[in-house]
Amino acid sequence: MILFKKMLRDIKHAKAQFLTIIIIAACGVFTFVGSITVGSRLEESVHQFYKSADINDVWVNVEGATPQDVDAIRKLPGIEAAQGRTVMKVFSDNRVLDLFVLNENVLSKPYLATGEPFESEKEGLWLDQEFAKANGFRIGDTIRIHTGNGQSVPVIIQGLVLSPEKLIDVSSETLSTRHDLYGYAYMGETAAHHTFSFSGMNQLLIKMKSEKNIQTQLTSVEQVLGQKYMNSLTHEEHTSTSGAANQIGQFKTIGYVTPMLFFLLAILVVISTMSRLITNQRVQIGTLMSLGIHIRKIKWHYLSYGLFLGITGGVIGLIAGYYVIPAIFMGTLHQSFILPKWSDSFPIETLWSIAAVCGCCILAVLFACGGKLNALPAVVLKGEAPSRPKKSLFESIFHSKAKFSFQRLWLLRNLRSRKVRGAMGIFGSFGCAFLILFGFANIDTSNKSIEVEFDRQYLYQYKADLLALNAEQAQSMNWNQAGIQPIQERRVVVKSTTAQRNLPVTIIGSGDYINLDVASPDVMPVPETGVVLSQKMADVLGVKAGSTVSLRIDGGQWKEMIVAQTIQAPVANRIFVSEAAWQQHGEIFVPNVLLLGDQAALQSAKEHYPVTQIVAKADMKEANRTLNEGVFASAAGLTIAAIFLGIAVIYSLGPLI
Amino acid sequence: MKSFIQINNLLRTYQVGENEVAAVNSMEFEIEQGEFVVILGPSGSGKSTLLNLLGGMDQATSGTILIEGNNIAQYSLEELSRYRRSDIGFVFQFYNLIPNLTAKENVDLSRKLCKDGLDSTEMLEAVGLAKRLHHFPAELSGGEQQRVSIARALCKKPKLLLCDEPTGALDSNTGALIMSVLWDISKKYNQTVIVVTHNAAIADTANKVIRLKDGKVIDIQINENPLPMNEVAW
Ligand SMILES: Nc1ncnc2c1ncn2[C@@H]1O[C@H](COP(=O)(O)OP(=O)(O)OP(=O)(O)O)[C@@H](O)[C@H]1O
Ligand SMILES: [Mg+2]
Repeated sequence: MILFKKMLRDIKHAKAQFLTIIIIAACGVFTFVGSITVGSRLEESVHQFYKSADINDVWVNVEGATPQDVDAIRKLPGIEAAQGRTVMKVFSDNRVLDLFVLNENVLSKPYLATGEPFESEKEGLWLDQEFAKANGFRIGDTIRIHTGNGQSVPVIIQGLVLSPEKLIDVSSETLSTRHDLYGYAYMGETAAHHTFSFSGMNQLLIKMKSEKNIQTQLTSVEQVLGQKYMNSLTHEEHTSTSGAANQIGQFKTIGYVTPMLFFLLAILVVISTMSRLITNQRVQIGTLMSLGIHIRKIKWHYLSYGLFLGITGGVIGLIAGYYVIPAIFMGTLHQSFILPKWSDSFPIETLWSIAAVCGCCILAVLFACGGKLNALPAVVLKGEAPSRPKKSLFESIFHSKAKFSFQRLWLLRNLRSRKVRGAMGIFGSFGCAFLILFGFANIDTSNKSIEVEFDRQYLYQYKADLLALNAEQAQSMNWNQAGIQPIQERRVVVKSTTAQRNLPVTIIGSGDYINLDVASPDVMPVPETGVVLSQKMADVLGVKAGSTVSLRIDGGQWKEMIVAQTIQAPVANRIFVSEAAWQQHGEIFVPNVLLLGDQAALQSAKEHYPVTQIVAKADMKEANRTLNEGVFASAAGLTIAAIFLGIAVIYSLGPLI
Repeated sequence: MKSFIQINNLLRTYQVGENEVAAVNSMEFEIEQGEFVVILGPSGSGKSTLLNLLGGMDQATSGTILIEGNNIAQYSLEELSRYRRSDIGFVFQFYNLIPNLTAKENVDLSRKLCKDGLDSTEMLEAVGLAKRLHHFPAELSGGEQQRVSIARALCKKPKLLLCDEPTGALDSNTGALIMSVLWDISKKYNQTVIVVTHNAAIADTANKVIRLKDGKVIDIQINENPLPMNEVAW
């Protein structure tokens, strides 16, 4: 009790140092508790929604599947449930809706916010709640929709819903959610048939019995579907599910990585502070020993400094982290994730961070004590004779002491006799330099890659999405217009002997708005044969220019293609192929995007092609920059931690130099 | 009858570089219960080393230190710690109070180590510090600090009070005062006190004077009728 008073007063007398430790410890726990709380709230809310909606494990895109096919898949051994549906884009004035036409509602069921529960036999439309809100639509209202080429038809809104597949429904280009322009809707099959003409199911939702071996299960699904199979997406590939998982993962990563830095920092500062304190209190320690206070009690006394610092910092960090970080982030999350219910749980496991920080502090004190307390009181009181410095290596090498100034000799000897501090200093300065470099490099590369992508790789001004065309329509159209370059964006599976990836591919039609060689200002022509890979992707696949890779489009045959070239691309996960090369392999070029050089081209594109949506490159660049601010913030955090670390190291090296 | 303290053939050597230094070299003497003993000797003669050995602060190289028949020279660190706690009171030249504890807290710290010690407030009153209970060491004079340190040593009711130059850092008046406090206590409580000092003048007040030189006992003087402390001229 009296020793506890002594500790409190000791701490009070060296406020600055101990406050620093408390702040560092608090920062560690703060970031941990905050990020983990936010991350697990998001995770819980998302999983709750997934569970109540019975989300599917895989989306399989098909061509003209029948209810019999769905039945056959349902009977496969590893499959728990399957459902077929038709997904299409419909329009209402300038707004775009993803429409899901269902004949049953078993998987990924929409959550009913208000209105009549969904039934596939009922008439009418169940509309995205956010879209309805943004546009002022209510239940009972009628909106006119059309499929892009037909007449627009009135449909009544039966209910407002939330889809578990649309937690983050960012328009792929601007990366932002424009709920007034983009939304989704559900319709029963009967009602849909009354409204527009469409053919067969084009998507299957599948739920597996186990999350293991999804790929093997998919192979059997593919066998059942045969020619109708196009491609499939798992949760890792689907925009919404992967987006949510990424976001959760990001919070958890920040939650685990940043505190480690702070804890490391805390350890260093505690070691240096407590070493000094113990050295300064040598006589006090000897006196306590002379009184007959047990050595264990004296050790515990000094450990209690660490415990006190850890607990104080930890509790401050816990409370602050729990209140501040969720307050900052939950708001944004509520906007970017559309969920029916938000968990406001307190993840109890975050309390471990207090234990962790206390453990770090105590360990650091133990380290600082070292063997200093395991001596006879007479020795402790008198102070240990400094270890006799031997000649340092340098001295022995050079022999002549005259070459060294006295100060330098002293430093070398000190470095030898205080190996731990020396090592800590070296380790710390490297760590610090590394973090600063890493932090800045991170900011720099992500900014650079945006610049490279939008200034040097993409030379167009606008990007226009086209209505889905079929092969005949595409072939019958004239794509040679000034200032307009048609491209097709889709996904393919790329396989080498060592690896396989599901990647977006860009098929480049005539025009020069895409420059594959970002190093040169002249637009590099896309090779007439073969595919172009980023160097990184080539490394992943273990191939180089001249090797062959296999490509598979929409569940078709594997096709071998030559790697024509590898490039330094700002976005690694993308492959490029020219229209000519595409056609050489018997594929048809069906443009779904137009790259436009200027305002005039934009006008003419609107006149000649079924344009659904136009985005300016400047907006895309800006959106990417905004997204980057997150990266920037974490890099800034790292840099700050690094500077702290540097100060701590310099401070602890102080008596040495 | 055996003496309270019996030292036989006591040796304590230090390794300094290649050489061995015998700080305490084959010492032999006895001390009786309740004696006021003064140890005299020039600097470096081994006085502090001897006191540390007696107080269980240091371990002998060889020889025996019998305290009431127990050879503490054979004690383990653990046993020495218990011995210091229950049997020894230490008074240091530089007081060695804990700076961040008040006078009373310093005494309490020691008081709480044993079951039937003396009340800390009474103890401080006994050394004349009734008005200084809640002062921190930095707020006390040297003499006052030394009195706190005496109170701290005595409140445990130690069998043996060891004082290493308790007046070394004090002016002569204060030093005399401290000495008479120690002397009074020794007489009043029949407390065995061993005082190391440079001051030969107080030799006449002791029951026994042990003179050291180069780690050896060169003379043991026994005063049948020691003078009271206040009759000695400083
Ligand atoms: N830790 C040690 N290492 C080496 N030699 C030591 C050590 N402690 C004491 N000595 C040596 O032992 C001898 C006795 O020292 P001690 O401190 O007992 O002397 P002292 O009589 O108390 O002197 P003073 O009156 O100056 O305090 C000295 O010669 C000293 O050099
Ligand atoms: Mg001495």
